[in-house]
Amino acid sequence: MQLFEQALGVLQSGVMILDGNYRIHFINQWLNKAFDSTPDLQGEQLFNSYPELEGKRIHQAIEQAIKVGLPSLLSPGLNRSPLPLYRGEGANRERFPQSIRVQPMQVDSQRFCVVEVQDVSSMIRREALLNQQAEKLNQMALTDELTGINNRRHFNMLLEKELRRSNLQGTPLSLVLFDIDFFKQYNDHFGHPAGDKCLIAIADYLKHQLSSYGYQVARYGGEEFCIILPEQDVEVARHLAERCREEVEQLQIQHPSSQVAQVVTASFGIASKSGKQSETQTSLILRADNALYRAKLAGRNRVIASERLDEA
Amino acid sequence: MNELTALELDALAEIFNISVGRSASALSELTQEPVAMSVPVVHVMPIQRVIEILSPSIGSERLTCVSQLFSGSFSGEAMLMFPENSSLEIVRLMLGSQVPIEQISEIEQDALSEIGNIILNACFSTIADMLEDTFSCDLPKLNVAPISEILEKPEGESVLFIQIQLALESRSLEGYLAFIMGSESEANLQQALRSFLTGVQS
Repeated sequence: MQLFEQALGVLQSGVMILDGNYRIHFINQWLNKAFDSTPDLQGEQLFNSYPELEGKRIHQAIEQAIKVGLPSLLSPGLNRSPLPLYRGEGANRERFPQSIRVQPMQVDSQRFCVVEVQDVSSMIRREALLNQQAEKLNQMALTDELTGINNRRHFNMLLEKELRRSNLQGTPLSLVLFDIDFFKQYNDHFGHPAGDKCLIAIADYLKHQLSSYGYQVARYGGEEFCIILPEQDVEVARHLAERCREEVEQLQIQHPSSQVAQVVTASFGIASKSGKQSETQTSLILRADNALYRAKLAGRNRVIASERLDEA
Repeated sequence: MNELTALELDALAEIFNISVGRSASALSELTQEPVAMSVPVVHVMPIQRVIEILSPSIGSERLTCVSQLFSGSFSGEAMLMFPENSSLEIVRLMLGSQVPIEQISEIEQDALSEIGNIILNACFSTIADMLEDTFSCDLPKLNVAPISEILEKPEGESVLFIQIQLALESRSLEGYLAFIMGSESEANLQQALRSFLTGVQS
């Protein structure tokens, strides 16, 4: 018997045995050391020593083992640190996350309960790291590398979500698509690095001005951007597009080879759906693209809205 | 054994409604989120029939199953099953995790085992209370596999099959409880139910 106790004494995880009155019949060194206050817990009643555990899940689990004879598992995801257990010394001393198993044990006619504790700090750290990396990868997959705003793939996901919401809840939805005027000539004149800078400047403007309204902006393609306006009708979209048009012009990016102005300008197409009509993603994008095309035909640096479907 | 009577089935439904009610409050305490559970249907049938009934709605999706072996006046294996996607959604809602569904990890798996353990234990302790019985059982095991594999048991075993509805943050998810028993256990369960009902009526 002594051999087993010695073995439990060197174990690098916690074991304690409680009797029917929640008295600690046995506790191994590892676990006793991890408990913060009392020097020796053997012989103490657990919930007298730690009244804050009363009514908690660990208490319920122990009670269930002793009264009903059922085992329990306490996972670190749902209970980060059920027992007041600490590791490290001095300033580094911290309560550690635990995985706990509680099992009933019948000896003759007496019911005991075995509590088994593992320190899962390293598992939690590994998981946090993996989650961070996963999030970074997801972010990368959805962000436009050059401008740092949403890419087309993310735009499609966002639009699909907003369309579903609009169709379900009967709220309007607007989409603005715009294109930098004579961008090819800009690139030819100043070179691609300057072209990239121009795109970044416009993306930065969009990001700072529009995200606070809950509008989503994305780079749709080369020099094409789009804005999703959830719950907004065509008038709001027209107003916003008009403001964007003015402010792009006011960025005062010199564009000598433009045929419409001295500076960089953009043409805007809008498609809106009312809450009543249901519309597919393709149809909404097609209508916005068509309006943009007509804005270009009409002389560029302007805003044109597609006619509403139910009026067409 | 004889088929369970309507009265006996009602008594079982009551027992399981109490059980899932208890588990729901335990889970909601744990997660600080409102959790509601109900048991629309309780049924006893051969295991093959369970597979037949579930297969069309599950399709090729795998089942997540938390199981505990139990023994008492009736013995067998208790299982809590959810279609894999629902089980991942449950654990994500409960842990508030943002990680995409395919990246479920050790922590989430353990959390699922615990959720299953809470629900199954609530069932056992309620049954023990009402039928004045005691059970001993094992720690939960988690298994994710096609339905045919999960329910691959000796022929002739019958199943106490319970559909459960779990409501979490405006989502409603369907899962299943199954108590797989040999015919002797089934007869003992019926016996226990009869004495319970006699006790109630007298």
